[in-house]
Amino acid sequence: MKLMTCPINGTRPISEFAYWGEIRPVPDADTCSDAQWADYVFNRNGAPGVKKEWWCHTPSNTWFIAERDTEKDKVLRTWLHGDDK
Amino acid sequence: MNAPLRISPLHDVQVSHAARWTQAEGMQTPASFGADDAAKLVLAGIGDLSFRRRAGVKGAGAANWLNALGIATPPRHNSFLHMDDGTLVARLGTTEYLIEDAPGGTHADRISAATPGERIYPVPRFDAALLIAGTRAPELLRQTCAFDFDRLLPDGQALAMTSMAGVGITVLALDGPAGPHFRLWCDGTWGGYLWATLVEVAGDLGGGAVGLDALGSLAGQHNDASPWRHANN
Repeated sequence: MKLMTCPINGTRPISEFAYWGEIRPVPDADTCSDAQWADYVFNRNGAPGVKKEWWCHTPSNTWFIAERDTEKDKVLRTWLHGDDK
Repeated sequence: MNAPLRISPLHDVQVSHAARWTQAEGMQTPASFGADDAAKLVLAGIGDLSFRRRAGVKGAGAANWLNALGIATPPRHNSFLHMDDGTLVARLGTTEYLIEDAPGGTHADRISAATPGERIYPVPRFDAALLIAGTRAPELLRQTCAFDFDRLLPDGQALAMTSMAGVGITVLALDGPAGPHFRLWCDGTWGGYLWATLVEVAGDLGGGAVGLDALGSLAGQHNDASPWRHANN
């Protein structure tokens, strides 16, 4: 069974979680070019590597950030937004 | 009996199974599913406590607001407490609370009627609320949920939010006259499916659906003189 650790609810089966995409910096819509904005809206980085992603523990609706190595499919750590400062 | 004012989220799925109905807290609920309710409860009984009145609130100011209304709040996240009057207060995550009245209690109505202040958000609760009891209840839980229920010791006052038969639930363990039993809540729209699934699995274990009469003190918990009994008489 594949497992993930929610910062609030602890280690649970991956079926209790929903993936919500990689955290990506939003370009300033007032100053960026159309090409930069289109790249942000339409393109995703599919290259394997260590990425920060939004995940949600669905039974409790707890949103958190997971650092995951998408090449090895290994979760390195998880934390609540704001707790990594 | 007066016409019920509240409809249980389990009513449609229970209507063809119930042998006798009663009214509890203004909600029509099965008093009995058959003559063997008590025997089922000993092995793996599924009770329906959806009639209990409850309210929810969340936000950074929720705890202080509840305290000002005279409602105690658990200090740890994912834990619960019983107030002296039997009211169950569950802390879901960090800043969300579920308050479930004991029979005849008025906290839920007072919370719903009060005006919340800043950073306090009411959470409407239309839960299906179930009770699982019996000597084979742990077996039933293992068949329907990946969570390790041994971590929910009744004296630990811990609760868990997990997935059971694919449905998101909140669950906690309580001590009863015949050993630990489990209370769980899920969104009412999933309640019929979850109830039917649990009853089917319990049936394989010699148990099944149990009406309010057989639940007895388990339905009232801290208050055995449950007002719902007056409606039944």
